Amino acid sequence: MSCWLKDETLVLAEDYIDFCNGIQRTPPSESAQAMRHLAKEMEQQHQSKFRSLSQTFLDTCGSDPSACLRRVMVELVGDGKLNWGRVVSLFTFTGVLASELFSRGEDKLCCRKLAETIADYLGREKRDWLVENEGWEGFCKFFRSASEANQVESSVKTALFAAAGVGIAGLTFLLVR
Amino acid sequence: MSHLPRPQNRVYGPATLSEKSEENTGGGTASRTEQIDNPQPSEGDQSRGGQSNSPLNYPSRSPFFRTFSRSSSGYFSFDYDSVPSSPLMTHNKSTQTPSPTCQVITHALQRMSQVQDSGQNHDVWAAVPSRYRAHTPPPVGDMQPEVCVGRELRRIGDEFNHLYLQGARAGRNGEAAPAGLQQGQNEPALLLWVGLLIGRLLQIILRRR
Repeated sequence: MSCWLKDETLVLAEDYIDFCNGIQRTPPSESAQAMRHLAKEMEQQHQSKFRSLSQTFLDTCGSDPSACLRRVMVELVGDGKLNWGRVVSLFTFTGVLASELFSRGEDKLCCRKLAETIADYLGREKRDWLVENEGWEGFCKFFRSASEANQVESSVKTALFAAAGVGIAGLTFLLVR
Repeated sequence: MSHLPRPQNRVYGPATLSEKSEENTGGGTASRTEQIDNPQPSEGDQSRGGQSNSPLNYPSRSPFFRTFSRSSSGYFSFDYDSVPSSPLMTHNKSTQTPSPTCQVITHALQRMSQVQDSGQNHDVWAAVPSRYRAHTPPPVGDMQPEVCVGRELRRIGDEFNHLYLQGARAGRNGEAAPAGLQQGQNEPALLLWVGLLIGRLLQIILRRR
């Protein structure tokens, strides 16, 4: 089970890093697609923050970003808690980091090492938490439930605005006539 | 608070945060900073301070003074809530004390600037319950970069998780979910604006008839 979880995490991390580096391909799984969506959404929300964090990280970590990333992950769960939001923030940060490394001329091996570090930590050290939360299928559920809620709200909003638009148009017509 | 005279404080036992952090020699920089910046004054400290609140026997070096300080002009302030460079803390050293109004204004200005600094880029975070904030340490200059990055990711992740779960729960209950997380905040204002526009148009039509 742990090996399977680790492999799946590795696929997910590699896919997201490649996605951040501009490599176009179909997401290998539903969880990979969900991760692309959520991590990019988070990156857009905190773009400047992630940029400054990655700059700080790269300026101080020197030639071994993987070892530093591991320490970041240890600190991330330093209070003994983990949730999908934190996992997404980790992937987002790694994606920003990988694209920064890529733009500095680092090879793909360096990015692969980052993906392996994430997979090793989540798949081994946090295996129990992942199993408890139904693995990456649980992550898909987390994504789906939030998306459904947003869709419902979006359709209600559209209906409201359509009604308001029709009302305004009708009133304007009466006024002009 | 490190400018307080250390040997004098030590006489009264480890009742204050500065002393706790001094004693924690093996804790490292990060843990020490947490203790300083997340003070938890015990009730005992305050009640003890209340008993010794005598204008005649003003204990400028007692633990009470460090918890609940008073300037020579009568302005009271909680010690842990004060700015380190506040003039309220230096009244026993200076020869000229500013007027009470001046002290109050200076203190308020310093506190406001401090709050503004710490509250930057935390607008959404302000809506998140304090249990997440409890784990958010303040930015510290000498913190290791990995620690700093890890804590920042933790904060962003918790905020994201909270807002997403809130959205999912609201969707299940048939309420409005925070779609796009931050975008939904402007929608009530927009709806109000549309409602006002329709109302105004109706008024004009009724007047014409």
